[in-house]
Amino acid sequence: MTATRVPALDDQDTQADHLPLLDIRDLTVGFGTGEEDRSLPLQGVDLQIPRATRMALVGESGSGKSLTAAAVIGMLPRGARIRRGSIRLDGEELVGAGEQRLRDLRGSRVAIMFQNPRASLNPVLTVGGQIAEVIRVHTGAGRRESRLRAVDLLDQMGIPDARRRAGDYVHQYSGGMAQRAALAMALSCRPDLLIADEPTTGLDATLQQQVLELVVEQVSNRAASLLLITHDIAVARQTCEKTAVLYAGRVMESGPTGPVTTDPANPYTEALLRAFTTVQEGRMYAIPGAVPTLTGPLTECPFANRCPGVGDECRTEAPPLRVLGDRKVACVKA
Amino acid sequence: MREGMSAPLLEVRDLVKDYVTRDAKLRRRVARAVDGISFEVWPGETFAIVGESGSGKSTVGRVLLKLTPATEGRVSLLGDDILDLTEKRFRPARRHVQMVFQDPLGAFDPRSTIRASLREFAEFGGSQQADTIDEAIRNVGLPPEIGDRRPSQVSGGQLQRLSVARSLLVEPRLLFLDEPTSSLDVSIRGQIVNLLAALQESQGLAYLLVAHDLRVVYAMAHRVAVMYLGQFVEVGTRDQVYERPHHPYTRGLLEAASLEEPERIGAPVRLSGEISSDQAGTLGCRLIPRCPFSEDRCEEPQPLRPAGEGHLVRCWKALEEPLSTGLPEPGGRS
Repeated sequence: MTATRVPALDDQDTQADHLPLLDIRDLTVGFGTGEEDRSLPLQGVDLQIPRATRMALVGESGSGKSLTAAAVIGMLPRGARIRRGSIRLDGEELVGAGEQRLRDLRGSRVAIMFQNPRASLNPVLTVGGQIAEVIRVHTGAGRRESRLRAVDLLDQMGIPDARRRAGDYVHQYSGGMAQRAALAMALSCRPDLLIADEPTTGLDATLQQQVLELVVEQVSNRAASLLLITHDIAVARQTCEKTAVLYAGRVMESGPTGPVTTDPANPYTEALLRAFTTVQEGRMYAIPGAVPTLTGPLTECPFANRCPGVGDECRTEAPPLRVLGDRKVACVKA
Repeated sequence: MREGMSAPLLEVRDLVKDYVTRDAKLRRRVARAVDGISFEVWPGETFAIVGESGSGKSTVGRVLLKLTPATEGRVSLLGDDILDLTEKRFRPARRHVQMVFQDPLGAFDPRSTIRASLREFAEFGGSQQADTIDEAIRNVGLPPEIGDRRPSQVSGGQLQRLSVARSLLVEPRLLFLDEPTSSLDVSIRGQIVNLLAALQESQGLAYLLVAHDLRVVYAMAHRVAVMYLGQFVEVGTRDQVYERPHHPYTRGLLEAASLEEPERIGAPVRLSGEISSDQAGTLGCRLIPRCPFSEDRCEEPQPLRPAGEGHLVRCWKALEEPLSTGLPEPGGRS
């Protein structure tokens, strides 16, 4: 298999009919005041999501996965700035776009649901009322019509007795029901891209399964794309056709979920996978060491200090993401 | 049951815990969080309780540590009944049972050095020498210098190691591990699991483990109890529960956790809905609203009945006929 560098913007992904819905290139985000960065948590993230495709972004805490999502929706935390790179939605550059334009996109083309469903829903408005309001503003439908569509949406999300429950407040919903309502809210503006940031992390396993199946079903029915952020490889497998693995602010490997999560090409993916699969003689595998702190630009592979196969060639630069068959891998030895 | 071991460390008989609350009209309401459970923990053994949030599993530990009084039942620790002891008379026995918390930050004073916190705890527990602190830190695989840092200056994995060190300072016989890895990243969960396993081997510690991560339970537990709405629905050795699960709830939990190992016997079970305290206290099976197999006879009281040596199951149907859901068998999945 021959490896070629990913050219900046002219590989096959970006030819007109293959134009990805979301195209992130070299995304670099720093925290700091003035020109100085105190830390660089994203260092050249590359990620493409085709239309009607579900993509999992897998990483541990501190890998930068939530920050990537925040950059896409233009809601970076205070003090964070995009230092370099490009985020294109359907060809439109979002880096540097005005706040008003980003707000319009958030309402219409990109929606997000969070780990805590109560973060997406207003506690002092009824669940049905606030979803109806979003529908009314976005479609110009009348109040009655919006209300009916909101109830219909809650019903599609599997909320029993949706007409009555639409009049309840979110604190009257159980955890699973609240996450279903948050999904209804996110889908109410018919987004092309749904970003789900650890949507089931606080839920028990049986509920997690139900909510993930619902997200997959609803996103596919609408031919929308999904960016699912998770720390759990099993969640990626259950939900997404493609998986990208993020580590220390870099994509280490991306490609079809099956091959990436069963036959990894990057040693970090392999180590993460081993940490997930049980268990020899009452012991679990742990990756030695800890995630590096990113105070400046990487000068070597970020996994070099924990990698069993590390060599001198890993110490010269942070390896670029190269095309290897049907996936992309950032490892000089792959 | 275990040759050469005359008595269990901890013996729990018919434990009941009611919480009394008032509803909106100030009517007295009794919520039965623990409803008549019995088990014992032997020296050197890990006994795990698994179940979803709301199953009552953490309440069991809180009662055993006398953080909250029991309503009924008997608990003996090293042969002594502890439930009726006053706090003062319980204190000498308390050092035999220590707790490791889910969030290790809560175990340390954020403004003191780790060494100062450990020393304070050791003195309170009656241990004198200063060098025991260094020894305790080394015992969990860390350099003693780390004791000079504050809790915010060490990683989550290191802090959880230190909170294990803290619990061991008073030389307990039994550790209550309440979700000991769930605040940690997947790649380092194994570090804590392996540390606890090594300490168990070298010091003969017994563990009562409460966790919802079924991988961690599989790695650590010798015996497993599955809890639902205050009752044990299945108890057995680790392999009985993971490889030959009988109760539909056990099978639903294992299915939802999408474990790759070990292979299970029987068709996968998909549970619907979510845990609801409305079912707590009912005489028949409490899983009826969520169970794909439920029928009229399930409304009758369901006692725990033997399914094999040391294997107990609270489901008449699982014991009398093979349960089939029409879902594909585990081996037949891709």
